[in-house]
Amino acid sequence: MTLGYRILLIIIILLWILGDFSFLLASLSEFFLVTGLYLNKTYSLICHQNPDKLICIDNNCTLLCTRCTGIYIGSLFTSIVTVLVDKTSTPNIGYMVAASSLILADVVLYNSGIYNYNKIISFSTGLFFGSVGFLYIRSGLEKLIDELK
Amino acid sequence: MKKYLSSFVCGFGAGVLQIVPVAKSFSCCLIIPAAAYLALILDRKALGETGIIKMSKGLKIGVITGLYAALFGSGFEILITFITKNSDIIVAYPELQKMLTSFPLAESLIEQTQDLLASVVNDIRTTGFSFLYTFAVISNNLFVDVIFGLIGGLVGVQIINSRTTKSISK
Repeated sequence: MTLGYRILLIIIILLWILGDFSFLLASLSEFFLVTGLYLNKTYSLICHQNPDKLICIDNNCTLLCTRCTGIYIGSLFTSIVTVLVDKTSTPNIGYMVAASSLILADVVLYNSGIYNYNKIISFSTGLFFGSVGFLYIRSGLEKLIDELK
Repeated sequence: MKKYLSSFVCGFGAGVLQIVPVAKSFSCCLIIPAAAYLALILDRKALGETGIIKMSKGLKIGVITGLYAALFGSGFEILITFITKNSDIIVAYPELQKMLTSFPLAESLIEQTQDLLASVVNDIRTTGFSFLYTFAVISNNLFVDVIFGLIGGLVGVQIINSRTTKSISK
């Protein structure tokens, strides 16, 4: 994958995360307030947006829950790392299974009352899943670009 | 149409699940990628294919599944809003109003935004239809479902190919 495509991926993920933080940034510019109101509906399609599970600062919250925010920040992290390392092999499917199992375990454990919902655990499991998941998307895009050549 | 029957079936299923509140909050962003993956498996079974799938095919099936999910999801949501004269924006309206006043922005802008929201809520409560709300539902569903369908297609192909490679090497 060329450097241009890799930077484009970073920009797309960065914009997506910026959208998630719209209401937190609304005090800086009215643009974020208007965008946030529209994006609230967009993000509702991919996240439950439970008010107790959002990241809030001074009563202004993210549009995605803590775990989803972790997933996209994890993707951003890996996308930045992979700009430096142009690796083309497909990662082992076991990593994806491990990352998904951690999320599933967290959901089952706090829902069954073994421990209370914890934003740090939620964010961490999301971060790991996003970091690993991005590698599969990137690998798929690489193969697609090769096929189209 | 027949060529993309698996996408149609899975897109329809995903479209329905997108509007069921409990299923929606439980499966979050997994509905559309899972539908794309399922569409790939159904397509393989229908065509009797056992070999490696091309990424371009995964992309095509993923995007079309997302498109069908967006069409059905939007259609059902608009129809339900029209019949019940209620929607998630009406539920969130009091909270949005409270939140708007908390922003340190120009009062005129906050008033304009509140008026816009109030007109949407009023339209839905009285007629069950708001042009702005309908536009938001369709554009959001199209954008999100196509992107997540694409992701589901690309990741799905790799999962299927990895299993196929393993079974061939055995």
